[in-house]
Amino acid sequence: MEDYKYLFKVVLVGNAGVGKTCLVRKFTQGIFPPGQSATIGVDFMIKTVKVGNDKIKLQIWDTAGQERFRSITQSYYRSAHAIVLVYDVSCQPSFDCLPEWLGEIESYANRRVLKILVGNKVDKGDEREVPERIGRDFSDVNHFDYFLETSALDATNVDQLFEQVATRLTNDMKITDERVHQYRADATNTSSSSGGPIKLIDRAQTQLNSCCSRQ
Amino acid sequence: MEEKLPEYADVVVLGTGLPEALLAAACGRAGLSVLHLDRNQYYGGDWSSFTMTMIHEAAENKDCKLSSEEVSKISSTFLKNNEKLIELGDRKVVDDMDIKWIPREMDEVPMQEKLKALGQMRKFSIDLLPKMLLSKGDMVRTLCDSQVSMYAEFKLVDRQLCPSECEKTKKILLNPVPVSKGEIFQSEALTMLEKRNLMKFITFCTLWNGKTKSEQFIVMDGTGDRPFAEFLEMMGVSKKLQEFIIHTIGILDSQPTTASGMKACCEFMNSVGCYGPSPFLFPIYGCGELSQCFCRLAAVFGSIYCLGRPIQALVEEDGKIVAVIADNQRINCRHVIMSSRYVPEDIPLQSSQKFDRIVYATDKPLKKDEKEAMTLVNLAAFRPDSEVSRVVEAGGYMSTAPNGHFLVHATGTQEGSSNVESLVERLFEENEISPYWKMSFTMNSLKFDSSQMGGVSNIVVAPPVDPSIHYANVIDEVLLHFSFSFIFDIF
Repeated sequence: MEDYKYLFKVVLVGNAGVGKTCLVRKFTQGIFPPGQSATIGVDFMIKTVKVGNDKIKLQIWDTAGQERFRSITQSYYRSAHAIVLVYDVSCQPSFDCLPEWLGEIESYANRRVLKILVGNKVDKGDEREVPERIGRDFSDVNHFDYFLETSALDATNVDQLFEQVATRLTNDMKITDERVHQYRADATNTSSSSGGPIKLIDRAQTQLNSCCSRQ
Repeated sequence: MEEKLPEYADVVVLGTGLPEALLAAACGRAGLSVLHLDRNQYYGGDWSSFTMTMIHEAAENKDCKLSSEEVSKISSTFLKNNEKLIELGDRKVVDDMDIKWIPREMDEVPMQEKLKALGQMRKFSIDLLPKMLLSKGDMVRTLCDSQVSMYAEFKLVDRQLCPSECEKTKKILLNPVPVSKGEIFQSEALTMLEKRNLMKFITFCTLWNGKTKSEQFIVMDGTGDRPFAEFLEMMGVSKKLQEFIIHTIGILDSQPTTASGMKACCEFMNSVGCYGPSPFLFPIYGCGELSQCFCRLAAVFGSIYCLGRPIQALVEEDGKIVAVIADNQRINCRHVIMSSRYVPEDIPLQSSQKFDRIVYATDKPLKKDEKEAMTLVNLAAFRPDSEVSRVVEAGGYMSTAPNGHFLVHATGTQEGSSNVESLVERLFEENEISPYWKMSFTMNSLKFDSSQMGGVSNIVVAPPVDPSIHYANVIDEVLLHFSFSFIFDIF
């Protein structure tokens, strides 16, 4: 088993072309992918970060191009711990679409999901169409947990963005853990073994492993 | 900033129901370029799940029929020499939809307003077609093989109830059905001797399951097509135990022959204990998730998704579909896969089967228990003539309703005189449950023969909705279509 304290699912949303994939690739692989080629066969990227002394695994999911015709599946949002909503500071329409994205998040995501607003492509200097203040105001008014401007091209704030996500989720999770602990201690008589969600792949893998180990 | 649809795709898929989604994902994985379209704004078509707000919107019918002006305009704009336009159909799979809120005296504020005020309308996930997954069944295997299992979470269907009529009160009693070994030994429904005999029978099934087809055939001794009960009798299984076995597997097959009964027994027993005591799993947030998950997989492999646009016609040349006209654009293609909804009007049906679906929203469970559960009730005993009569209750526990609320799904085929609706309402009345919302409709399982597509060879019609409890038929047919049409292995 790999040793990590928590694994968090982080999903990115926002209009096509705002640089979601670039942000993920810059953070996880340190590269800025040239061109606009869609990444075929890649579901999510994983990177382990440290929060204090804890190893935290971030599983970062991309939209798989389904934002192009606004057809992101609801199930994409379902089990996300954090949602990073990205717009392009040099593209006003990508900012104007934010309320629509917020609507989707509110409809399908968990109520307590961590919401982060990101204005990407700050490297574009002169071409900026959305001032930082406007982005920050929007984030405040709509109760985002965090707002940040980034550039996947020159790496501005990219690491900070995901480190913030990891730190905040870890802190939240620790509080929940304590509460659950408290709750378990309080409830003495309940059987806790059944009723939890089941991931099919876990079982498939353990079966696979047990087959291998037998030989 | 409306983006244009691509001008070419190897495969154009019409409809985002589960079978189409499976086929799209398989094509995407096989390296074909896929354009996946749906007339609806939402994923899943007749396999979808809706929030309380969405279902009322989705129930409104929109006419998709083209006017003669549109047809001639499309023809003159898009058709080349020798090409023929084939209008797409808009066949009704979900029909006679009726939705209503039921006022109740006990509510000071009407439930609709209360749920709205609490922001809980979105917490419903109302399935058009709730089905279960057998833990060792084809669907679970397909989910694991394709790694789509990564996108969804499941819970056990942890309570199976068997109804019987109380001789004194004439009320329907809901008795728990023991399924795991532990439950069977604790159960009071069987005597110690019967339990021992049942264990013997289970061992027999396990052995039988390990045999080859021809060996199995010899064991059945020519009784394969005879009723299962006769075979059990021959095996020396007591009357009471026969009933118990036939009832338990009855949820898979209500009128088993020896061959189908043995198959169902093995499927059932294989699945018991796989993820827990129950052989069945259900997706959290409802079955609509599954088609979305397969669509996500297709998208990850480059398929392009566009929902909510008009899908108008096909273009045929020399017995082949060469293009699809959608959203007033021409998309050239090599293959077309479609759900039965889109099949052109003049293509003859191979067969069809109607079944009733009724969904109730309640705030009291069918049967109180220590903890909340997902419940399955097989009502076959009360409708012996019908192929399918079952009730599924899934609530806050399955994230298909707000906490403390339940969706009660009744599904029944239409043979015989009684209907599943009156049975469920009797259950409600006897248990003093008053639903505050009701939706009823019929589903139409429309089957087409892909080789009878009006002389066109490259159309695949995806398997239709069906009333069975699990996904075996869907997976079977999808596999068949896929290997036949594309000569690849699925996933």
